[in-house]
Amino acid sequence: MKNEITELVRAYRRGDTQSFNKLVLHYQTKIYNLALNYVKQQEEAKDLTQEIFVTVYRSLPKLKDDTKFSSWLFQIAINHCRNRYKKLQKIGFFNSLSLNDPDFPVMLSGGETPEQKLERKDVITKVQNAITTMPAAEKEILILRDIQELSYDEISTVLNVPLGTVKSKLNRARISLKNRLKSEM
Amino acid sequence: MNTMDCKNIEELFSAYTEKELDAQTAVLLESHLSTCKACMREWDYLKETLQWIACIEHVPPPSDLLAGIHEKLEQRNIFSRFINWFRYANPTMSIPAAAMTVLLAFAGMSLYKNFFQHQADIPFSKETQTLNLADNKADLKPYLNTPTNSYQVIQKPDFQGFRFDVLHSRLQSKNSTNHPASINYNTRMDRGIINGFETQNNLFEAHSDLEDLLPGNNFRHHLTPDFMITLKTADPATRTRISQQLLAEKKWHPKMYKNDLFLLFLKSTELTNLQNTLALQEIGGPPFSNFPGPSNTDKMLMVAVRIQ
Repeated sequence: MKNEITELVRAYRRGDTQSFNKLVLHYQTKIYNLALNYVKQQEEAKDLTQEIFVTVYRSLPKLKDDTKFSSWLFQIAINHCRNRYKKLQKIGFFNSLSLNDPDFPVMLSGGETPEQKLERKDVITKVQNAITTMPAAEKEILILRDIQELSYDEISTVLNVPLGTVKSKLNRARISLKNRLKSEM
Repeated sequence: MNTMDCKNIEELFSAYTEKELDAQTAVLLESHLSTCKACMREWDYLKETLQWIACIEHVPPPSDLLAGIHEKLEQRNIFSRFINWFRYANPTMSIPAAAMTVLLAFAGMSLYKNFFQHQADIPFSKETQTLNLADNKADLKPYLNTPTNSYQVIQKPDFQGFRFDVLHSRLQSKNSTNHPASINYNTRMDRGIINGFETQNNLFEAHSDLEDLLPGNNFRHHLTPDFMITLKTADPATRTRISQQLLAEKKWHPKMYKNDLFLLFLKSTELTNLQNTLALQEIGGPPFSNFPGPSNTDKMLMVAVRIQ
């Protein structure tokens, strides 16, 4: 898959705009969900995701190594998410959102009774809420590793921190989340 | 290390889940867990937490996400054209261009108008342009003064022309088949997305998002708004409401700086809606015909709103 992405990036550089569309379609779910974890509201997450890809479109010619597209994309996405989060926080945007806001959706797979689904949805909502209330640095690393499933190397590049720091911070973030959820489990 | 104590055992949990511990440490950890109920409980909590995280599934993005990206790219294109309209030549411009500037400085108002109308037909055809606007500096106009809220509209504060510094201005020709991103890269000053700004000597220094993301590039421009609206309110709720309303109106291309300063780029036809949003009786200023633009409805205005 990595080679296919690199090929799409190169095709885009040659002027094939369809390749850009394919890149968007490949990454849109991950980036949209990353944005959703920051801004908690679907319409805002949609706008943020679009802004991220607009920046990618405009600055892709400056990407030095085509094989690093994924890390570069997440780097741009994280910067956008941080900026948007700060702006929204300043205007009190999050104060008007309920933590149990239905606009912060929970996706569940099938194979369960409605009661089981309801219970699971309830727990997952608690987990998501606990994640959103974590300090930014802990939240970021947890999302990148455990939700976005980036490798340690990728996280190290995206957050511009050494590999060892990634590992120790991730452990701290997981322990922190565990402690937040302990009383609710 | 022959034994483990409870104090530091949690530090190893992540590495243990990822199977990154060396064999000896893993055996010690397992041995400790089998004898220490408290640590075992913490380990169970962590496993459960990770299981719940793993249950979080990605939410599918909206189906019109891609279309919206292209819409935004197109808007930026229109916006950059609008900016081109108002740019000034840079201080190192050629002698003929400098001479042109002097001539224009001595020209009368009618000549100005003719010049703008002429430019409307060929807005993107020159390598560099020097545009100037008439200085319609108006007195401050107070509106709606109440004990808690007061509004005033300042039209063109310390107006020195609509200024947009362009270090180089190679433009996209109308028939260009070049790749848009390449054009963007080569003529970045013309196509910058303005997402932040700050006041300095009554000018807005605007910079593009690319500057944040790609440090070391010069994406800064100076802009002066057509209108500067200062709202005074002692009520935090009113402040928050207006801020949210301004930011929510995407077609105004709202940009916020330092929580109290907003920059809007809107069509002249949107001015009435802005007036309603801000609960102003009217927004003063010259008739729209004084603003350059291809047609009445296409005239783009730059409005700064400060909430004090």
